[in-house]
Amino acid sequence: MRYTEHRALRIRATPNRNHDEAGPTPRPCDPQLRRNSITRTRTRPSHKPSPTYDGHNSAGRCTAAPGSDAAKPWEVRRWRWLLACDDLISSFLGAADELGVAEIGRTLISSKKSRLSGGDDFGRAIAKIAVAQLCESTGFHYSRRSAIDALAEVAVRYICDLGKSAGFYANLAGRTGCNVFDVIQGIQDLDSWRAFSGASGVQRCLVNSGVVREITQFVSTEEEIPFVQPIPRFPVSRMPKHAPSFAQAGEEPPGEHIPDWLPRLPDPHTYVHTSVWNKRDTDIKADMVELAKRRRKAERSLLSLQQRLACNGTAGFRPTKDGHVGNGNQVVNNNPLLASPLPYGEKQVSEIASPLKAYSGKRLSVLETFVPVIKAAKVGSLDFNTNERKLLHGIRPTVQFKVGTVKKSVAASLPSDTLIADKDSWSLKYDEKDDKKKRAEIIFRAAIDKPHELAQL
Amino acid sequence: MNSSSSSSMGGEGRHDDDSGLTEFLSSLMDYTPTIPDELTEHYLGKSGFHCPDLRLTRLVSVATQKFMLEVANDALQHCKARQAAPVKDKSKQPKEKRLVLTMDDLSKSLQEYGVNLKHQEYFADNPSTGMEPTSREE
Repeated sequence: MRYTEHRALRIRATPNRNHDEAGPTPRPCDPQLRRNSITRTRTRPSHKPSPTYDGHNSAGRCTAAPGSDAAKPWEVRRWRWLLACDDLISSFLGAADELGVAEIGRTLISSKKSRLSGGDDFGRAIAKIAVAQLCESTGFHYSRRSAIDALAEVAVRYICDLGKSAGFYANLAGRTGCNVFDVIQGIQDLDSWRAFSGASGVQRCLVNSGVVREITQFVSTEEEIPFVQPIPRFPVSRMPKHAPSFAQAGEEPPGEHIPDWLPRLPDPHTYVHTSVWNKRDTDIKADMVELAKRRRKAERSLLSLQQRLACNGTAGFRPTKDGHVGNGNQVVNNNPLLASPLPYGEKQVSEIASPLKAYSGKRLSVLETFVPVIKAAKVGSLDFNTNERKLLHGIRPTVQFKVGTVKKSVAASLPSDTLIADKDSWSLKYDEKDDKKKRAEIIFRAAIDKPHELAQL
Repeated sequence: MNSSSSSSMGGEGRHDDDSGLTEFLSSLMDYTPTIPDELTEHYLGKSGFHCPDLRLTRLVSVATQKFMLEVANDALQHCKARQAAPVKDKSKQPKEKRLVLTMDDLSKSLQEYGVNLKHQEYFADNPSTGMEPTSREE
């Protein structure tokens, strides 16, 4: 004896922005009306196990499996993959304003719909694609987006219902794992609204039931429509990173009562306020050298600027300066920088310590040659060979300073003592304050002597 | 009597059933359903169905596909019937080739399968929108 129970489930489908619906913001005039309500009338005999649905809210949704909310970056990647699937759907459906998985993806990324639908968007999108393929194989050219949504919802619910029924049949038989007969009985349950042969027979094996026969027939006659793209297993569950145990970290647990398979204790800096040391070791000498370097650099740039301006439009900066030790009337023109260089060996020039020793591998302009020497004198680490003639770059002629003539450049007015490669004199003469004073004097003098030059600056 | 005959026949019947079952399941494995296995497994896992066998997953997806195809076919019939009914002898072809799956056809076909799909045709701001002005005053 069978009696039927009507189990009406009023389920609200996911509200989606259907572009095919008329009007602006949809607001139902009757508050009792709901959009896209899908109800199901089931007929179920009494002796069968009655599935307990989760009430009348968003029923039909089974207990969420753990890990169904995938990690965010994976979600974004999935949507990017789904965007690539769009070409199939639009080719099937022709018009661009019809269904598009990309549109779904875009709207779902931008809006907060994933909250409403429970984060199951990936599965639903896949179901939509599969349903669209099925519609295409049936013969539809186009489809409404809402229709595809509804059909996908029905498909998902069918799978869930079938799974639930099969599970309940297995539980009824005292098992937890389902087998084929449970599934067949579940299919019979869902299709019981229409008669199929073999439903009433209890003795007969289920394999001979009409359901199985229909499915066999379906499989043999219908052509395969494989899914468009291979999809990965989802949802992707992230393995949590466990803290290493004592044994894994190679530490001894502090105390005999603590076994070594337990996770290790956190670092003391996480719970104790430890002082922070300044890692940078202060080397006073290096700091002073650095300071002097920077000062020289500034002065250098100022000097070079002056010289460039004093060149009177000649191209480039002539590194050569005509200089003579002793007599000072060999000025070719007013500008010593424009004078042609003396041939090699004509003048006796004092040796210059190679700057290459102090600075390895650096190209130095002429003015910089005396800088490292002075610095080395200060630091006290002089290491140059006076006898040795260092190779400056072949392009540059040797420096010749003019002494005692009308000075245009400040550098020329520097005392020639700097060129004397004499260890002793340097350490005596040049300490920092003196040097600074001298430079200041020189610049001041130059400024007074050539006020019109300074005006150019 | 009945039970004894069935039990005597049961041995052979069971053998036939086993072979039939294996045949059935092997035929299932040849067929690739449209609904991918991963999707089916996901939703079956959600609903408490536990079986590591792939053939059962395929069975479920084949059954679902069969159901979907029946629904879609019914909707197609409704669509074609709708197009054939109003015969317009105008410039455009009477049988318009555009077959669009609409909510109306779908709800009609699903009605036969026991699924009630209600679809709002339109939305209005208030109950008196679109009504005649005389009736609105009432």
